[in-house]
Amino acid sequence: MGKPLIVLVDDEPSIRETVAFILEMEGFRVETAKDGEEGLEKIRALKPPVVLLDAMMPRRDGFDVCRTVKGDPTLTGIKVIMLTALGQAADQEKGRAAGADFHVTKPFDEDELLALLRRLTA
Amino acid sequence: MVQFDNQYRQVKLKVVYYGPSLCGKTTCLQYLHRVTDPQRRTKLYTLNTASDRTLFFDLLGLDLGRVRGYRLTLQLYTVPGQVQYNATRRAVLAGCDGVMFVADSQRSFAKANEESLANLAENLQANGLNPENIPLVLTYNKRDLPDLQSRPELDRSLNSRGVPVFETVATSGVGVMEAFAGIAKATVLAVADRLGMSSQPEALNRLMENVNTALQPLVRREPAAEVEGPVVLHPSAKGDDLRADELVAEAVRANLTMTDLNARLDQLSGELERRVANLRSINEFGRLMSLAREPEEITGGFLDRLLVELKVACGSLFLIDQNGELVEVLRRGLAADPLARRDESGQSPAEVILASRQPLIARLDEVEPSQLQGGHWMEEVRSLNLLGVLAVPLFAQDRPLGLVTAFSDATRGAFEDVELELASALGANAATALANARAWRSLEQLNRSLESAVAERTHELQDALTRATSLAEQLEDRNLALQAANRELRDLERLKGELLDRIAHELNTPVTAIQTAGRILARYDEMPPERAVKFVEIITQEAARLGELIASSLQAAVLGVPEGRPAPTGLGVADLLRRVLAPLKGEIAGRHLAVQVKVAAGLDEVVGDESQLEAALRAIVRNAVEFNREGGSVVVTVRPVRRGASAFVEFRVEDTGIGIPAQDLPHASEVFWQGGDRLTSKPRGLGVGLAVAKRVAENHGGTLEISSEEGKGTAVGMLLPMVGVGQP
Repeated sequence: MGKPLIVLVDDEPSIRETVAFILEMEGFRVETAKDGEEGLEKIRALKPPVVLLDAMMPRRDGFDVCRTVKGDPTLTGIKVIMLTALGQAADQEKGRAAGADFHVTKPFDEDELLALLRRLTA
Repeated sequence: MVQFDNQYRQVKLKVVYYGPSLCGKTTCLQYLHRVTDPQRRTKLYTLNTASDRTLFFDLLGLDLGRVRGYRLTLQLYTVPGQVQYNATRRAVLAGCDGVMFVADSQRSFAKANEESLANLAENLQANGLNPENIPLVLTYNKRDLPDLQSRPELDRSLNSRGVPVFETVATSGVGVMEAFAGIAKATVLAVADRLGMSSQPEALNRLMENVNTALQPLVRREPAAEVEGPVVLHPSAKGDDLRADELVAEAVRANLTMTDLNARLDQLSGELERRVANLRSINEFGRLMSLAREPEEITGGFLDRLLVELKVACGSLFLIDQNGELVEVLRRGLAADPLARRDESGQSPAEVILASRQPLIARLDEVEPSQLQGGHWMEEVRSLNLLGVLAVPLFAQDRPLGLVTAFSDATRGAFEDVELELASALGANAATALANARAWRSLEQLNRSLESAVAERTHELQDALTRATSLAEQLEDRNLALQAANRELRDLERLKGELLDRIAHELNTPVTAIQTAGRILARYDEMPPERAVKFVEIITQEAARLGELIASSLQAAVLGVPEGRPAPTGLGVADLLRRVLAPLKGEIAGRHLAVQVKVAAGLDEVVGDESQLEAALRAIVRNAVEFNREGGSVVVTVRPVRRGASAFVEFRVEDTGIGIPAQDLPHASEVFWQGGDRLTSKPRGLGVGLAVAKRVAENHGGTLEISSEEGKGTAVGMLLPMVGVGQP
């Protein structure tokens, strides 16, 4: 059994680098995308068990990507974790409406995030 | 015997000219007839007997005065002188009130005179009259002929009673009128005495004065040139065929009655003519009045017309005013109307007459003054040498309107009943016309006041409407203003929310990156050094980004201080631009942007607030960097420009970025406005950059110009007034 694959979609290079580094260090395989469009391509191609999805991104925002994933029957079973700095009730509500399974606000505790990822990929 | 005529309220005094045959009686009477005014006497009637004639006429218009309200008039007769007509003479003397005995002054007639005088006495007695006290006057005629009896001779034989004597020449009229005046006065005096006026010497005096006044013009009057032929009433068929005296007397009496009736007929036809004339006048006046619209025109027209019709100069018009007072409104020929003067009780004769509702005529020589007037005013009228008074109350539809008065003098004579009728009729016409004119006028006034009330009300309504409309407009304006304020508040609220979102995002991202990188460094200390350097760089880079964010927040705070007065100093342009670009270098390199700076010759320095200009220019350049495409370019130009008459230094920043849609361009410099969709385009910063630049430009007396083409790029020019170095 190989390492579980996580697709990380975030437009901020510093976030992509740091989060990907930690996940890789903790036994995950990570594919990154710098916007929603690229993210959706990678999700469709790789069908990862979990997607970490930033809300605010150029070209296609995270809610839209989430809605597309959840509405695509070929992508069933993929868990979506909305990763957002907004941390506001309205955006959490928006994420739920788009079908997101979990919601993690930035700045986050990496141990909590790792625990969630491990549970989802066990 | 006094003949009372109750129908016409007059007393006829019968005076008989008596004397021997051919003594001149007829000539005297003919002369009298010629002298008197044709309108004041009847025609001369003649009653022919066999060879002599009986002439008579009535002096109806000769107003001798009044006794007990009856007008005194004279009826003059002659008798045939011949001996054989004694029956006629006796018949004519019946009811006689005075006798004028005409004697022929010629000596040859002495006997005939005496015989005739004796015959007179005999015939008077036969008629039950006393020859000793019948009013008698003697005329000694033909004084122009030779061989006359002297006056004393005549007196001795004829004037045993000592009555007044007049010498005359009847053929030429000499003394005829004086003699007539004498017998007229004597007769009136005797009648007055018989009616008991001798106990009222004052009234008697006035009566006699009036007789004098009435007779005076006659005495002076010239006879009419043409002799009016007598009216022959009963030509006798038979010549000398005499019947018995009694038979003749009866015939004469019958004839006299007939002639009397003829005279009455004459009088009536004269009155009829006058009435017809009056009716014409009334009719014409009525027509005039019906055309009149102005009350003043009517009152003036009426009074003047009345005075003309009555041939008098004096009169007044009284009208009842709004307070119900009878007030004199018009006056002619008088300083004051005697009828307007109030007595001790405060009432004027005019008011008394109006209250009686009866028109009246009065004459001041009236023996018994009318029961209507107190009398005090009569003295005044008399002192004005006025004789007759006429007063007609004016009524319109039985409502009293006023009173008209007219006054006549002795020359004109007193007013007659016919004239009172005329005045009453004219008055009725005038009163109706006046009432109509007043009704018309008040109708007009009502109409006018209605119109003005309607106009006023319309005006008020229009005012109210205008006020209401303006109020509604104000309310609408307030409403719109409130809605706008509300929208602004909502926008502000929304902007505040978005700002907080952006602050949360902008702060969270670097903080998250720093925190995560820091934990990595702490957690995985055995990682290769080049990896560790990478995380340190992330920390450094994100820390710088946080610093920028804090600076932006401070700029936003600057915006809260409006019109921050700049502290201008001379600034080196190259140095300023270096400091603006320095913090953006990492970003510029990361996006592979080509930055070009072009400064026009001679613009090495600008004058301005250093920190404000730096913040503004950095905000503009940051936008040009952030909204640019990968590998695009940013051109910064500093050059002199003109706008109208003013010279500016322009800091122009052109990019090749996404541009601003035309509809958004006007909002580009508003606070918190951000280009693009805030989720997808995700620009950095708080959306205050251009607002800061605009405020700074304005603080310096300049302006911010933004032009853009969507998808191609944006050019922002900050224009500062051209100021020489050292000159503030």
